Amino acid sequence: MPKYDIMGKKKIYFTISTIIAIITIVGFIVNGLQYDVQFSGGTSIKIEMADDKFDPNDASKLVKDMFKKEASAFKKTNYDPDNNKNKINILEVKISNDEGALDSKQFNELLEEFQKNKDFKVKENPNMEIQNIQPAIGKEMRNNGFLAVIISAVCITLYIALRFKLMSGLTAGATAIIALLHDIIVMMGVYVIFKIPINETFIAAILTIIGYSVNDTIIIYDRIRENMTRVRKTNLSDLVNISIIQTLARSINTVVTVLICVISLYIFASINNIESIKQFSFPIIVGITSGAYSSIFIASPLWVLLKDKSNKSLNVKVKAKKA
Amino acid sequence: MNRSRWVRCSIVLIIIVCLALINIMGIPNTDVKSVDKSMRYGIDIRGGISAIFEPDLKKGDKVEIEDLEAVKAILDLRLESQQIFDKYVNVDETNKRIIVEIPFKPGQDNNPQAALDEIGATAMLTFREVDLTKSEDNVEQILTGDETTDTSEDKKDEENKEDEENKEDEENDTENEDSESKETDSKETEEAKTESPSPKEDESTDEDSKETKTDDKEQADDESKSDDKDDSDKTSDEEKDSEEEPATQDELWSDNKIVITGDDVKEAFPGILQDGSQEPIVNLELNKKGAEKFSEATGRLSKLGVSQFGEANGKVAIYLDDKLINAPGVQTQIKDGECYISGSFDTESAKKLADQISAGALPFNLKTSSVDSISPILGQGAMKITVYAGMLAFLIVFLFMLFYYRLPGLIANIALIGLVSTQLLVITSMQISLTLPGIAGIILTVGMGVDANIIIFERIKEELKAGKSLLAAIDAGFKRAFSAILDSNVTTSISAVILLLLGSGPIEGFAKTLLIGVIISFISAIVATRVMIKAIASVGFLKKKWLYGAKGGEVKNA
Repeated sequence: MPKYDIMGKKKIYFTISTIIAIITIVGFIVNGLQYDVQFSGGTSIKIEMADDKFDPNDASKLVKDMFKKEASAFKKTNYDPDNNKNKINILEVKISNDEGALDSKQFNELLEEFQKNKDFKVKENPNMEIQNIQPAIGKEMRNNGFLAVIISAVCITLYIALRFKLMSGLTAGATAIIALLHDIIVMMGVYVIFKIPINETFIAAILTIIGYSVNDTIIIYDRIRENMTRVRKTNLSDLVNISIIQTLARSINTVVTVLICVISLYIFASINNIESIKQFSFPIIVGITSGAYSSIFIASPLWVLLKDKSNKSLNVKVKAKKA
Repeated sequence: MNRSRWVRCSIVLIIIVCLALINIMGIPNTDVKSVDKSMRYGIDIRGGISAIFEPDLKKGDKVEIEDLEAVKAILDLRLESQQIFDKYVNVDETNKRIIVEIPFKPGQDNNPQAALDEIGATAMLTFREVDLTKSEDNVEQILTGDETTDTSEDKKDEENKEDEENKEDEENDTENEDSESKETDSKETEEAKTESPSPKEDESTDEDSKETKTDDKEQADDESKSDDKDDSDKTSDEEKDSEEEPATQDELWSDNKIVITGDDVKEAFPGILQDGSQEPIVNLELNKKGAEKFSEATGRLSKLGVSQFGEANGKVAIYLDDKLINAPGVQTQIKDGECYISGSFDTESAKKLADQISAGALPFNLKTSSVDSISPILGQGAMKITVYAGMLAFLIVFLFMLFYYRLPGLIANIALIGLVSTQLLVITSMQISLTLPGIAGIILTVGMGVDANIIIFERIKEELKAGKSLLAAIDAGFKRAFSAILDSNVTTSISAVILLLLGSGPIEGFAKTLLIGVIISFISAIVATRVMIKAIASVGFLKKKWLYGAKGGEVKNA
């Protein structure tokens, strides 16, 4: 087995992760967090068009004329499941939270207008995808989402504290959660920097990553726990280093298989422009990768660091008592 | 020893093969169908509407949970009368909301908002008495007198209607009997108050919304015009004048005393006017109490006589919510509790109204606070892609496992087939709606299942390298891997359960498939993989280390 010294280079990994965190925070300050219609409230209409010869700008102008609300409009194409050669042309109109969602009457008027207006060749009996969400509901969904993330993080910490008493439970739990936060920050960072709006799918992705990333960490912890009972004399840093290397094959292989699954999902979804799947698989790809990294290079090395410090302070206290 | 291992291994294999076959073919001659037939798909795949309704209340009004339960029952009835049975109506007690999921119906109106408005309309039918001899009811008489039916055909219809009602022509002297209000109980008065003075909103079942309020009112005017039984002929110029008058007939009698409501109707069914005109109507059969009230009121109104225009002074104004449908004159007492509503219906709208009356009125109007709708073609496209992606992912994972772990890899693949088969069967038998994130959940489960196997195999390899015999290495590998697998599955379950409790709709589907998957994958790795690998490890010619991914020649015999 080749000898890797992961523990010796821990400062490098900590620095890399700190830089990523700083980038995310700066991005957050500059760009802010973008909420999707689902989380902010607002209106989103996707409507099937007869051809692709339409100007989405006309649509936003129309909304402005009708309701004095700013709308963004896009042209999109979708995959047609019945005929592979056909593409479905789609006009997407979004009215964000700041402008307020349309009430049901305005909504009906807008749909009617699109179908009547000669600038838009809406297909007969068009396929539509519609979201019209009042801001209060959006806010509630958003809060529920974040609540889910926080609650599961707390529950997982408690579970780890319980199961890894030998690794002085709470410290182990805390470092596992720091690794987790690291992954969430990386995922958030991608969203903040690329200005991708977040919605419930993103929350689901984060929760999946919480599950997976903690898995990776736990596998390594499990080995540390085992090695601690077997070989008591080695110093902590070496013991953790051995444990990480012993589990390295598993860590890499698991990440590879999960990435195979998620990347194929993402590729298929991007080729065919299926947003719900794209929105789900992309953050998972980022999160899984970051999760494997943080489990190996952050959680356990950080645990050693904290443990060493508390040991030293313990020693100091013992010495102080003796004196 | 050896034999019992093979027996166990065969049982596991047979079970896996059976599960896979049930998924592909179902069980012949039973209710168990193949997965693609029995799978329930979520709204995001098969298309449909998912919406949150909130009671549309005035300030100070409170909603009780019982009200919401009553609303749910009525919504169920309404949807069923539209032939929508595969629906989901649920009361959110904490937030006092109603969550509705309706699948897409082919040939349905393409506007989901309009469909929801219809479902959420109060649909309170009220018959209100009108006495044209009283000045407050008659304020608009001059005005409405100016308005007229546009075509002679319409007029003929109206005359026909009148004829039918004039079986016994009783033209008594005008008697003002407005003091007679013993019959109406206080409940009705209350309802009348909550009903009428609300700002005008288009809640009609058969008309699309209009662009502006004025338009809306004009529309209402148009309707009531054609319904009105005024016979004087006027020119269109005069009509225009009258249209500028802001008051509408919708508001005119909306505060009048209620004779009967939809609650007094025993049965409502669509029909056709039996006078040759074939006009679609809604027949009403009143219950005993309703028939009594109606008989009393019509008896009284019919005595009011006829005005100088030849019109009955007593009318019954029929309202659906705030909207006047019709106001036929009363010239005879109706004792048998049978009557009908006519006026600008087509066959479809007559059926709709009959269904709405039968289902009953909501205690309040419902407004949508969240609408999420998708056409089936988009959802199905997404599903196909996800399934393709899933199949490709499985294939690559299978090959990866086979090449990297060799013999155990093959066993892991068999166990994975068992895992996914079981998962699909659990999903179909529990009638969980499969959503797009749900499919992603299945794919992730495969990742979890593979992970458990990888942990075990890596352990076995290590034990082999440490010089243990094959069987001892397998035993030790499973034993050592157990805690890691348990802990990792528990943590994943924790986030799945929390997602299940807090998530909604499609995300809930993801949480369910993931949770089921985690539990099954744990059993699959600990039981199925173990039984199979132990059986195979006892076969002599398979005891080569490289088959287990470790370097070196023959494994020591156990």
